[in-house]
Amino acid sequence: MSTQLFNEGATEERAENARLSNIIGAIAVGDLVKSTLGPKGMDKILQSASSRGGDGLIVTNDGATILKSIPLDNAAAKVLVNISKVQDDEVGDGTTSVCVLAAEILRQAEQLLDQRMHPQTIIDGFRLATASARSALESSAVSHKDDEAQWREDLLSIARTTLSSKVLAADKHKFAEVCVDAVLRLKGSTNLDRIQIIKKAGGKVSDSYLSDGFILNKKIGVNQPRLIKGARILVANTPMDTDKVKVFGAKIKVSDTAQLADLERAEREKMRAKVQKIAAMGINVFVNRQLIYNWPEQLFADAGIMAIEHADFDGVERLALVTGGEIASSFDSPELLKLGACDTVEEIIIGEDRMVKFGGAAAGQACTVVLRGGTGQMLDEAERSIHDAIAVLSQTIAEPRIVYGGGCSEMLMSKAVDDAAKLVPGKKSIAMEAFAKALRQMPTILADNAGLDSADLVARLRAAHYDGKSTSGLDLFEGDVVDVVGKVTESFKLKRQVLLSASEAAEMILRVDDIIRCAPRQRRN
Amino acid sequence: MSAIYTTDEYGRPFIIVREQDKKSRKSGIEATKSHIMAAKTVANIVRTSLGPRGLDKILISPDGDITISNDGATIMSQMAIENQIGKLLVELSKSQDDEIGDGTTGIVVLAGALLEQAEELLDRGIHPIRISDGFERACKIAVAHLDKVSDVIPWSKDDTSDLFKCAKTSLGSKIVNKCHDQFAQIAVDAILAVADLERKDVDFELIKVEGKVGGELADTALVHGVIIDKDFSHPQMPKEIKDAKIAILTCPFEPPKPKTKHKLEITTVKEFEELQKYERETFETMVRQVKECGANIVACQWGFDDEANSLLLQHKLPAIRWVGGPEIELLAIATNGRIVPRFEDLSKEKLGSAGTIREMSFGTTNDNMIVVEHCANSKAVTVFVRGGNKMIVDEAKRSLHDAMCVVRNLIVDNRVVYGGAAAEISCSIAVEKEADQVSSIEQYAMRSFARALDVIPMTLAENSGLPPIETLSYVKSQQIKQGVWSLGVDCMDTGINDMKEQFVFDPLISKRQQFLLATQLVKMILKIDDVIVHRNDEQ
Repeated sequence: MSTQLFNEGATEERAENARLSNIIGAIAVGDLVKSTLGPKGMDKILQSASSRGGDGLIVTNDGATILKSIPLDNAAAKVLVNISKVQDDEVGDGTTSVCVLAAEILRQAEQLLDQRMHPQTIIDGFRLATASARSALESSAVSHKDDEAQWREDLLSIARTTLSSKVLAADKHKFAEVCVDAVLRLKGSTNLDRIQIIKKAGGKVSDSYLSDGFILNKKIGVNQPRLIKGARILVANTPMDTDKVKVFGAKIKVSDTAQLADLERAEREKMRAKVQKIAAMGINVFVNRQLIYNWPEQLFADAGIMAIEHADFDGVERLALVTGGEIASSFDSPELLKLGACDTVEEIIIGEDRMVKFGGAAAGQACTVVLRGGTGQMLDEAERSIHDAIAVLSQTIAEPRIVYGGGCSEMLMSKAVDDAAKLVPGKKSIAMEAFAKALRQMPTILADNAGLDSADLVARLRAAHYDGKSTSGLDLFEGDVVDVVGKVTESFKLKRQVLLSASEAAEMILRVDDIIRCAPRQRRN
Repeated sequence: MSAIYTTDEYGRPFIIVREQDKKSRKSGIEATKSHIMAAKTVANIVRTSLGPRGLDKILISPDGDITISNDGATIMSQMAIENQIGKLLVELSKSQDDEIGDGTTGIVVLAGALLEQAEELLDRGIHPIRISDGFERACKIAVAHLDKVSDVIPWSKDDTSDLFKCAKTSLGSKIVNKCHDQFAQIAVDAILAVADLERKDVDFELIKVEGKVGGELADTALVHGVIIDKDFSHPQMPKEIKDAKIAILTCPFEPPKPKTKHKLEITTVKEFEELQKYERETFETMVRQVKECGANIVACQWGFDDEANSLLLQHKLPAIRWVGGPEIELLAIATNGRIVPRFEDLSKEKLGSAGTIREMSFGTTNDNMIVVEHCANSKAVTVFVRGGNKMIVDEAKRSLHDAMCVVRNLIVDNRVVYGGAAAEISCSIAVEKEADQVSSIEQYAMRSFARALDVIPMTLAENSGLPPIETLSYVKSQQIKQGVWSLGVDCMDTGINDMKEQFVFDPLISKRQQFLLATQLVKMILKIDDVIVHRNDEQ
């Protein structure tokens, strides 16, 4: 006798099957992105199903971007995609590492499950392992925030590490400088919207630069000055087309055309009054978030004021930050209004486009990076790389501790876990050893991706660590074990988040023994 | 015509169910058995989630979203069960969740076990009604016995160690047992902060659980104040305000909008100009009124006009707009402020006060939240949950809710029974003993009830990797020999099976509710002997 329990189309996977499907799904995702790991990692082409043409094409090395773009159906795989996304939001980089580490931990767990170990026992072991790995990582972290020169060198090194696995690797020294300078201008803020990246196809990648001023991708109004020195800037968000009556339900009703003409005149007068009020503040540059119609534009031109319309939200906010002005929407009390200022405002040409550059700004807490490159895909990938580097740097400024890369921290943690495992009685210690092995997989993958003899290198690396050289790492360009201090630096926050997210996700997936899939919702076209 | 029919004494057909091809009918023992089958299947799914070593389930929604949970009620409600009896079990765990908040897995497992036992009795030819009568009697005995074996745990505002232990029992089976002590402490502190100890009541509305992905579970914290998932209305407003005097408004910073339907017609230039003047003045009055009452920050339920926003900035009044209904109430409670519906009603007394109000930013995506701390009234708290991924944050929220419910239940009634299935085992012994004294056929049903109670310790043992039958018989004999009711299954392999020493407590009311609700449902299912299902026309 059988009874149908679920909706039609629903499926259930149980115990071994559920576990198998989870672990296989996770490992598949890990294997998918693992070849992009490290400075010698490869890129992936993503082509969306909807656009067969060139515009849907992405060439990328960024784990989060890759995973985001693949429609996955496996539950465990979705968990990995989610941790990678969180990693992206939280630190900005390490999105591949977190997936690969979680998958490697699960790969080790699978073997333990085959030996009939209870998932909860494995989890207990993993928790102990994570704790000792974490404390090892913490004690190895150093901060040079007090020593300015060293601090800058650290930041540059972190930026280089991040960039070295991306498309910008060839110019990583240049871009590391660009990123560090950009982030230092934010003065500790982690708001990355303040760094604007302008992409212009054409030229070489090495033609890219960090602008000394701020560039707004807008045009100056007709008949208005193209260059203003000693600019006093009003940044506004106000309607400059027609000032509508905001009182609800108001409606204009006239009985003859003369009245209509009067009203029209009144409207124009109002606009003129508004422009005069604005002009009376003694400004010579007016930037508005909204549209400026021809009539006020002409009025501004008459007053010798440069007016820029339609600067969007981000543009206005950044400009306010750069020039130190306030975003204004009412102009009746000029004494309360803070105007922005900068030395020069001028129209410049990048590639073939005209833009407005604000040079020598007073506050200068925002900046612009101009990226050049041969193709659209190249520029997009370059932007993602820069964004990752900037994100990591800004997080490092908030949490200044650093650790060493090139597999050094992983080996360090693996050693600590192995040592701790020896003191733990019972089956948990086997799980801890497995965890240590998963950590060692990270340098192995790095070496494999670089086409080196991973077995030999990792064994030598491990030996070096047990020999007390706790700053040894892999030099993937030379193919040797070296002291990585000053060579490959990574943010402590990044590494910690990778470790914690990966083990949390692995734990979560291991705890599952049943998957119930509801019938997919019927979509009607 | 197809129909189920019988004939009367003259041989004339007598139609019972018309159009049989569109309907299906099951009756008698066949119906009861198919129900039991369905219920058993459902119970078997959640069975492995029971206890501190229980495992989780992945639920994939029709849209492909994933929930990973250990909470019985959550699993049941998201399984999309179509079977009617299955749906009853979903309701069962839901009512336990609504009423008690914890023990939602246990109740389903118990109901499943009872039905399984009932099936055997049916096979022996005992009438379903007699079975349900027997269960009813057994349940009464069990509940009475629960009262007997319960212990009162002393607690006070200063000594919460026992509440803490109960919260730990509830959290033991969840993924958050990674930070076991921390979460238990958060649950206890949160409840005690808002509890009305005189009336023995806890208002859950005052506890907000806010989650944000990122960081790790150990970063979860209890904030004595309110967290609002918004940012300041103007990017250039200060990000931190000390000694805040907050005006809580439910009127928009926009020109007034009369509620009655109206029409305002402008016919002359003069009117046009006057209207514009009026508009400007309204904004100025609004801002002035706020400023004059002494506020230095504004929280508003509605939006701001651009002009008003700019005026607020000029007058150094940071403001938060679009604060949701529940948040604005919490804010009012926390800061001892009054919610003001009109600008004219603003006055000094109606302002709320808070030590600090600051904007907190996360990660690299410019995500902000506003934290209101050191409030005038400590009776509103927020638990801020962090975790490495979305699923874990959601699960942590659910787990915390369960733990808080347990603490709440203890504040209402501080009697506890011992966990680790100690209570079930001792009830089983008591029921069995009583059964021997019953002369009617119900004694069979009562013995079955006792056996069903044994399923709980067996499941616990099984999930913990212990030999189920051996463990059960050992604990049972120990309980009878020593007469100690607190012996249970040692799930965590600590070597001690006295739950009193392991500090595994469950609130008495939770256990009692489990017994009562499960028995009630089983009785209901046993009483059904005929099911007629209308199929949809299209099928």
